[in-house]
Amino acid sequence: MDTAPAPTTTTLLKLAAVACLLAHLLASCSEPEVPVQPWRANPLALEKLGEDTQAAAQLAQSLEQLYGTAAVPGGAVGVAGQSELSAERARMVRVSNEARYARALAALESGAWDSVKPREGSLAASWRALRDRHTRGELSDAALRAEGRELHLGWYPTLADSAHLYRMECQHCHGTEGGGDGSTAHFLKPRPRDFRLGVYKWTALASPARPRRDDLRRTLHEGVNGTSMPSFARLSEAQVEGLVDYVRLLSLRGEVELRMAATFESDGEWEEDAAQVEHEAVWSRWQQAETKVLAYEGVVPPSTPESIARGAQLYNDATKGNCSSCHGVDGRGDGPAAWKIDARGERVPAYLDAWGDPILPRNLRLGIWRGGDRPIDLWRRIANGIPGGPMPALRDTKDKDGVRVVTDEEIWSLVHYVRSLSQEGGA
Amino acid sequence: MSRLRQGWSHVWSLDHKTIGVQFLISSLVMLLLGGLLAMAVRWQLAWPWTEMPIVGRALFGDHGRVMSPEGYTALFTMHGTVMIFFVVIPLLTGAFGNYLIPLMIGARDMAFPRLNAFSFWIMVPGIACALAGFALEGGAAAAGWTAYPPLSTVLGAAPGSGAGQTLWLWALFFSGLSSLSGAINYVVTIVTMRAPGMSLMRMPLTVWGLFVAAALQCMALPVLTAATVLQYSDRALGTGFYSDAGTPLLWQHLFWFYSHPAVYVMVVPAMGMVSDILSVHSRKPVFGYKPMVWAMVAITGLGVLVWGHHMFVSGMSPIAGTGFMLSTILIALPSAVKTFNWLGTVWGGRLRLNAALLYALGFVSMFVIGGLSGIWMAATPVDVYMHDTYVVVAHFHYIVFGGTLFGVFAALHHWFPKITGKRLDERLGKIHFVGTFVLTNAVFLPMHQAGFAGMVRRIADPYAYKAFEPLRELNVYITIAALCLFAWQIFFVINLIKSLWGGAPAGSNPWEAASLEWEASSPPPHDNFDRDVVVVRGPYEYGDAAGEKDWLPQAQPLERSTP
Amino acid sequence: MTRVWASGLFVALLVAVVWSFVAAYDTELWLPQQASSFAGEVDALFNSILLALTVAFVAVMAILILAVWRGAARTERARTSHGDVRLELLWTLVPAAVLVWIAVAQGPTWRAMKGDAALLDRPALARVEAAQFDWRFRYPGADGVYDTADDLLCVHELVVPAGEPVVLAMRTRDVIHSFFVPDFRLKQDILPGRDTKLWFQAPASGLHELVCAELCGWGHYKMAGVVRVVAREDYAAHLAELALRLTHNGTEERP
Repeated sequence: MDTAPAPTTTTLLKLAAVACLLAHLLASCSEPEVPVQPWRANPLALEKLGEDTQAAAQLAQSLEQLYGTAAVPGGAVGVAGQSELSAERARMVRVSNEARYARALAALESGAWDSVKPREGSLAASWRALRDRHTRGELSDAALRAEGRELHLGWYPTLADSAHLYRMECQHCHGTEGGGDGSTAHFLKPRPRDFRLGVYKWTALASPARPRRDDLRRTLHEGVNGTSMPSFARLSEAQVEGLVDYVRLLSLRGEVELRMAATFESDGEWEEDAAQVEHEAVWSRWQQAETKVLAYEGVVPPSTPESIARGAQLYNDATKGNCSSCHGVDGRGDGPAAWKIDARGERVPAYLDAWGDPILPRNLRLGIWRGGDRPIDLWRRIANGIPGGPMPALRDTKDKDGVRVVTDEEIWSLVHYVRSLSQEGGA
Repeated sequence: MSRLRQGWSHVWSLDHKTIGVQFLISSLVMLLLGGLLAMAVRWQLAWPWTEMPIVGRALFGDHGRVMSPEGYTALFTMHGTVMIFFVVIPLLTGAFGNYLIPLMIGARDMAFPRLNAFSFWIMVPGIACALAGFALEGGAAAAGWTAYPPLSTVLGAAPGSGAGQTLWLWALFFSGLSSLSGAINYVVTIVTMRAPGMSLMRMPLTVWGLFVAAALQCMALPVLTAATVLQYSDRALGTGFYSDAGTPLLWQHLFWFYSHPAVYVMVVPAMGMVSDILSVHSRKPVFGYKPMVWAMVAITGLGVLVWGHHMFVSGMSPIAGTGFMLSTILIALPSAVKTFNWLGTVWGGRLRLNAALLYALGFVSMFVIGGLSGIWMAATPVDVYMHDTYVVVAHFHYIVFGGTLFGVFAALHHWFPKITGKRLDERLGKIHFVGTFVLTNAVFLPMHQAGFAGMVRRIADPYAYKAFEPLRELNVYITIAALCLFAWQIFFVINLIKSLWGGAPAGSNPWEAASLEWEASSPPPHDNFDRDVVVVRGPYEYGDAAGEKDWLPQAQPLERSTP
Repeated sequence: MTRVWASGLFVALLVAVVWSFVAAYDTELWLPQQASSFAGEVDALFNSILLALTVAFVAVMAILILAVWRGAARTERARTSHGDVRLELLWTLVPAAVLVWIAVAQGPTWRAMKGDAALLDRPALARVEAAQFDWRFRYPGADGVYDTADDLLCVHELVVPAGEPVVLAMRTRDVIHSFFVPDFRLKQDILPGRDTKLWFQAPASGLHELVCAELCGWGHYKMAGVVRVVAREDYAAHLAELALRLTHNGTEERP
């Protein structure tokens, strides 16, 4: 028998009211934040500075002055690269914005101002300003519609916007400072790129150049096939350009930090303006990128059985391509030069990459190409080598008489042969 | 014996009642843990990559105070694993099965008391293995509670696929041993140790539910154990059972051959308990006892024939798909029959609107919602769309949370007096019921709509997909409701603690219930009954034909016979 | 608790459930646009089942609410009824009939989705290569044979012609992924070690999101792709554009 008295209506109503209030409070309080991790010093740089905390502080201050902070990136030098875009590229950004903000644009058309809720910080702030002016009567409905539309179509992310996107999409692998040391990085082989060395493997350039916007954009669009870097083509063109700006900022900052530290290690002190000078030196290399595009003058030769056979010859010839020494006679990446016996008598990879990780030659039979799958991409890999790793530039490889070991045309034969390894009827 | 020694020997007791309470305590603690894991999952879905209050810094300090994508996969994997293997199954079979079966059939203990104690203690290393995963470098298992290879077998496929997955396999192994020993015990006890006069058709439906569930466990568990051994072999010994052409499907078949019957193990005992509770508190017999029994048996039988409905899009042949579709459609029928019989039980009854009955009614209403949504997924073309979306999540949470867990709350209110000799506070119970009922629906009802919009499961940031951007607000509401739901359970915790210490004393039969367990005192002594019992009628003699009062007890107690 | 509260809660549940479906119907919280030839059939099946479920749910809840309302105020003893065979037959046979109807009704739609054997024997328009964590696509090129030098490769976006059956051959490089296009009502797991074939037909041009629907690791949430359906001529133009990549000599990349 139910002997306990039923709770009174008022008690239950009170409880319900409290519950509703709590829920409403929770719902209406400002959205939880994506936390901003401050930029930390590169341990490699700190090592070079020794125990000198004053130097470390000075360096941090210089970097902050030049590049800003994680919360407010930019500093003296960092500007978003909208002005660097070609006309065609700018047009593509607008088209992409139109797709990305289709719902907001539709809401603007129908006058549903409250439904326009941009998530990007700078866009939200600008939109709020427009709404305020509209509320104060300074803007007509038509003007709000037109300006709102232009705001969305012409949106280009600020560095702060891009930093926020980086934190959500990239940081868990590439780390707070772009050091390739995010939480997920621990489990990935190959490790995510550490931008701070300023070394980039997959560019269209003759090394040792810093990448163009196009190169970084290509990496974001296509991913690095065969690694944990996926394609980010789902992002809008504006977002991709913004990430290019931000990665460049991280890379500049990281490289300047290391160069400053190296100077301190050798000289024991810095010149006045040392940071600015280092920045200019590195930045000029980025700016020269456009002049260093590696292209083939002429029509790309088609793959023929003769070309493939020639390529096979060059591949195995130690005085020519010498590819089999690392990539193996079958192209499986198991050539003898790839391995060595270490001090403990164990077989380990013979080479380390620029970031200190062991690196093995690619298995060419898989048909998985990290730097792009077009024939020209493979041509560039062979001609220019791969910066940061042991793949040599065959264009620069000369015999004892100073003559190139392979011509540009012969490199095409190598490309045809290598591509045939992963194809029907291939070797 | 000193108090300490008494306490110590109590811990290792072979008494089914003590073991039942041990299962109850461990399950409730794991329920708290499973709930916390769910809160973290829900936080991430509402506000991806933001800092969780209080725990954010503590849990993810190394990762910038924010959940990592690989961390998310481990969270939902362990949430599912903990809830299924260490909360719901031990709660129903281990806690209530152990406590109630001997009492309800008039036995003095289980057939194999040592095996019974073993079934509890062998679960403890299982819990330890499951939790130890979190302390590993690669984190806990992260391939989903379904652990499909190659994600689970290839060591580099996910951070949790290293030692974390191995520990997960061990956890399942120990949990399986625990369940199997329990199941054997229950089947043998029910078949051989019923009191005189207790025919099978005079057993309360609680016992039938546990009986049928135990039979299912015996049939299906060995297959899961074999499947996990094969997976361990693939991982540790480099065998290829689940690799090479087509054979990842082998794991899916073996896994679901157990795990589908497992969901019936997770609901049928609750169905039985709810039937009893509805009857007692409506003062009316269970409507259609025999059909109810046959429905449980049908669910059991069909339950081993439907596993392929988890695999409609897996690449199974379409003919096999049709076969599984037919069996899945069929299995809705016994559940429908049971639902109508529950309605028939309360219809025309004289209802006591206490917490136990309210929870039982909550079970019926929410089991109906969950069961009906299952029918969509039985229709294969619709399942193609709904598979791996939030419709499935809504479906099974309605059954397991809205169904089983509400059944457990009802059972706790109903049998707490028997277990402890005290009564749970009714007022707190009703407050807990109202909030939990409202909030459970607030959390899981909108998940249907999220699933209709195509939102898939197991994604750390739904808004990486443009199509799910409109679901942000919905996910925020669900998360807030979930946080409130979690917080609301404080009322139950307070009720438990308050009543354990200072609850109103209950006699042996505070509910005037007819089944045998109420013959015993509250709590029952070591050998359960003061006197031998002989059963003379069914367990549901309530109402106007039931003598002077409105009920007749099931047994006619005999004087204890002298040797 | 008074019967007002108890019944009221279940009335609230009934109202909330019905309202949530009615309010969401045909909005962004419902099935998306129908962009494949069988999407309409799937939705029709979905809707008819929904109707049956609604009737069942409302009936059950109405009986429950009424039983609570009356039973909570009842003073005389309940009738000791152990059941009623006719009622058992009624509520066994009627649901059985509905279920049989569903089983039969889904047949044609299922067959339409799976396509006949001849359809799947057609050469695949494109090969889908799923990997952790993006989608790559390969067209066979002019020679119509895969894995030859003239294959056309792209990432993230699959372009297909409208108005004709499209057959895809899908493979995964690592773990199980699942090719899910909500707008097409299409989903197929991709198992390692073999090519999985799939077909669909999209009547009109449009852009449709591709979602991975099987847990594949930490990046499962990032594995978005796009299926772009275009007119036949535009499809040919797209292939021609991809073919240009094969002869690209890099000079256009100079400013």
